[in-house]
Amino acid sequence: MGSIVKSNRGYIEFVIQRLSAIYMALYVLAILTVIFINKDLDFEIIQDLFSLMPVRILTFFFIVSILSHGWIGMWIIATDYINNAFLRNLYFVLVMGMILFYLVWSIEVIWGFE
Amino acid sequence: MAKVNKLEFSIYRYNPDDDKSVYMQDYTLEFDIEQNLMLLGALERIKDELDPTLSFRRSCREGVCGSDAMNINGKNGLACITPISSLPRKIAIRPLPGLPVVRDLVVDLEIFYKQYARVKPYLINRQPTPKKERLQSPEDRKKLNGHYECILCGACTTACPSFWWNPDKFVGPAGLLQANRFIVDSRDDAELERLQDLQDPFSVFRCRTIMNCVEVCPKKLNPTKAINNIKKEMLKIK
Amino acid sequence: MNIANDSFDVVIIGAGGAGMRTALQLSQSGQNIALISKVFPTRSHTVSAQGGITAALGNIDSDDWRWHMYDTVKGSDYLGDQDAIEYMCKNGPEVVYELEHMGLPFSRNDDGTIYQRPFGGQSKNYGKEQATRTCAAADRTGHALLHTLYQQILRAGTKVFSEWYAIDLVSSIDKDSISGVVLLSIETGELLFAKARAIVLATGGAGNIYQSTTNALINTGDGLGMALRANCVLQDMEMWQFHPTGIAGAGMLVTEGCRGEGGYLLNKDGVRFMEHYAPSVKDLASRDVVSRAIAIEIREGRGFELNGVQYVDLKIDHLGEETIKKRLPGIRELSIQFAHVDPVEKAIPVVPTCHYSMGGIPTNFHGQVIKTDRNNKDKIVNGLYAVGECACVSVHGANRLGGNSLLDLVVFGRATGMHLEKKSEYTTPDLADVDKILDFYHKLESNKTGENYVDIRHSMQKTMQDHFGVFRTQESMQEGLVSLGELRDRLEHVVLKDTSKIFNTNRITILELRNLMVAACATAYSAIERKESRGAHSREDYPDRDDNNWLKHTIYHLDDLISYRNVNMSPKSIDTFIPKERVY
Ligand SMILES: Cc1cc2nc3c(=O)[nH]c(=O)nc-3n(C[C@H](O)[C@H](O)[C@H](O)COP(=O)(O)OP(=O)(O)OC[C@H]3O[C@@H](n4cnc5c(N)ncnc54)[C@H](O)[C@@H]3O)c2cc1C
Ligand code: SF4
Ligand code: FES
Repeated sequence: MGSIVKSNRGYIEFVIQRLSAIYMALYVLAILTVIFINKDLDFEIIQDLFSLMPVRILTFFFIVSILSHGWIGMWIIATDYINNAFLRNLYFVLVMGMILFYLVWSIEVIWGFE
Repeated sequence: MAKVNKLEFSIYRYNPDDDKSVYMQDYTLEFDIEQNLMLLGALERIKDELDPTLSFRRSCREGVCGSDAMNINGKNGLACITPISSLPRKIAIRPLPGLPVVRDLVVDLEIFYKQYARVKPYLINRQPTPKKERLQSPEDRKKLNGHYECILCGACTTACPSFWWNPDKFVGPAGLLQANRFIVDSRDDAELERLQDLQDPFSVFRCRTIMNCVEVCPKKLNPTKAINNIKKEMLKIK
Repeated sequence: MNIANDSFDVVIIGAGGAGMRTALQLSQSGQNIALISKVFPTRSHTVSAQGGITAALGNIDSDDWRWHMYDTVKGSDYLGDQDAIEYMCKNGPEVVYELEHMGLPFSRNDDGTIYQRPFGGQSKNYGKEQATRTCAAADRTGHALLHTLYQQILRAGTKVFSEWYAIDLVSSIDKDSISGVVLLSIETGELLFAKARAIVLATGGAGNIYQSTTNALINTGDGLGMALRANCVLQDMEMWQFHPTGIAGAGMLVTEGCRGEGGYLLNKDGVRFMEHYAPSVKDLASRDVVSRAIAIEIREGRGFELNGVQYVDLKIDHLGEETIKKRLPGIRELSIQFAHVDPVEKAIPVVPTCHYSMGGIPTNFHGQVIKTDRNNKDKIVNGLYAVGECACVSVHGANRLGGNSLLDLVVFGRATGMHLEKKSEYTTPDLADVDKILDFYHKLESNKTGENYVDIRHSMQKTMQDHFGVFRTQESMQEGLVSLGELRDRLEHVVLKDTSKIFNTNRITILELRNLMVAACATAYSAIERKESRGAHSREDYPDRDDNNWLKHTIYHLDDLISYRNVNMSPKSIDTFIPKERVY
């Protein structure tokens, strides 16, 4: 089967998907807890919270997790369903573009560029 | 005294040698319900009595050789161990899905066999060969149960959507079941290279636990469980 | 001759246990081998073997290959060749260890050694207590063996022609040797003349000459037909083993291992009747003995009857659910599917069913095919080998012991491979032979009206069942012979309704029927000549064994003539076992 290249990419992606999924779940749980504890949550509190460096970093990791998880998932779907190489590559370029855009945008949102 | 019953068959026909394209052909067969007829027996009778041109594979007629896997009323199974009494009066039979059809119910299994061969389905042991048998405890031997009984009928792999999409890259449930058979064999010492060979994005990781394989396996084996074990073992070696 | 041709060092026809073991032995030799099979290798009939492979490993109990040899000679009713039996039993343990090293998933004892179970006709100390000698992988030993061998074939990279059908052999110009074979691709209809230094026939059994058989539908005696048409001979074809326990009405085998594990037979009065027929070993007597006992019980009205099918009960429920699930899982599956009884709860209905052909193409223990010339002298057929069930080495004589066939396959598969490691010369093929085969092939296609193969096959099977079954008489066999003669003539005018090139199973069935007819006629002519009862050949008009006149092999020739060959009584490393009365 010539098309098989020996690589451990599948394994690494598998691990990334699991780890990112766990991380995302924990993050969402943490945020929900914050919301739950602070009954009178308002913009100030949120702003204060997200001005803390550790929170910003954790949030950034969260975004990276979503994007890598998403990329792997979209890559798998494409290699299942899009057989035409040109269309598939076009799709990859679009998805990659979107992911990069989101990445930059999220950095801007988290750290702001006033 | 014999109670006669009528069965209606609708069977997939295709022969590249004649000019007709694919079509479904109907046959009606009368049979004595006292005889516990299997579907293979019915097909043999159709061939003998009604239409000698109908082609299908068969050999052992007892569910151990894996020749006559086909799609029976939408579900893959072995004709020789499917009792007519378990089927409705109208029976639709098609070749196994997802593979090129050679003729009628005969499919080209080449890629299925290649995927089996790819997992190096043979014992690798680099220790010097002992004079007598290599010892294996009954507990270690038990780990092979649920694997070695596979008859390579192809019912599972051809029921798997992941295999339909990537038949050349995804090993498929039957092949992976055998990969795991050697991974868990206490006499095999190539576990590491077996696992490394399967770490690309397709060979194993295309399994999405759809579990069609478990549902159709006529030997009641569980390839999904084996595949999960392969993934688990991969995590251990890192 | 206008077909494609190719040449090989060795062409092996048949990828069952025997063919694959031969191929495997040759895989290291650097020769150009072709392994031909009309079905994908793991679909060969060896896959159905259940109970085990017998070899004196002594894992459970003390053992000695000489005891195994004694049992095999006695089991064969002294018709087996003692030099070959000696070779098989002596090499048994080694080939079994080899299989284990290849990865065969044998069941295990607590100390990690290969599990062995008692089988019929196996004793310790030359006929004393029951021996425990048959190595098993649950009740799927043949499956495990066949898959293991195929895995090794994959590893060795042997060239396999899967779904190719061998039609006929081609002789050399001087007619002394075999030079090649004509093959047909089932998938494409392509014909190929394969020239070879040596051809190995490993085509398995021919149980489909009978109506009710444990054999797969592909067991049609093709090798027997090919050999005979190439002017070779067939030996001991009257010796057909009827297995005592085929599922009544369906034919599937229930392994002797059931009785080995402690199961027993009951008649409709609830009597364990084997106690009367074989007081010392009871249900584990030799197969011919047990089959005759069941046939007598049924004939004398002590059998059960359901929907016109008569049978006796095989009881194993007392072994307990756990043992049945662990040691006999496949039997449980078959019994539920084909007899609608779960043996954990109820007895399995069984009858004697045609199972195994002790006879076949005579060979020496290197696998070389032997024919006899006009003065009854043995002559080796250059370039032709035979191994497995289609061969007659003869290690099974007039009755095979359970577990000895799988052993036969691997011992003589290996021996044949070893003998072939030394390359012989190509001989010049007689191309007129090829033309003759093609003429026949095309004539079959052009017959527009004529006989229907289904009728012929059914009548042949019925004739064999009725006239050449467990009990035989001159009169009945004579009748059978007449109808067989007619059927054989009708087969000349058979029509092929489907002339397509692509996966034409109609054509294959008819080619197979031609070979079945050879096996049936060989059986009939040999059976009627042997005027004594020995092993599986049991004549009501000659109920006794007659060593003075009949301790000899029957040889069947192409023109229906019968001649005889001496039984080998000279093992190399042990004294001859002198024929004695056979009691169990
Ligand atoms: C149900 C059952 C249970 C058994 N259990 C046991 C047991 O427990 N222990 C034991 O020792 N024995 C057992 N036996 C007997 C034993 O299994 C057989 O005798 C043995 O497997 C025969 O092996 P073989 O290699 O000679 O032939 P097979 O395995 O029958 O193989 C024949 C091969 O020849 C090929 N072939 C045939 N004709 C052609 C042709 N014209 N062109 C191309 N290829 C061809 C076939 O495709 C196949 O590959 C059992 C038999 C049966 C029926
Ligand atoms: S796992 Fe089951 S369905 Fe799949 S090939 Fe093996 S026996 Fe057939
Ligand atoms: S014919 Fe062998 S599995 Fe059905």
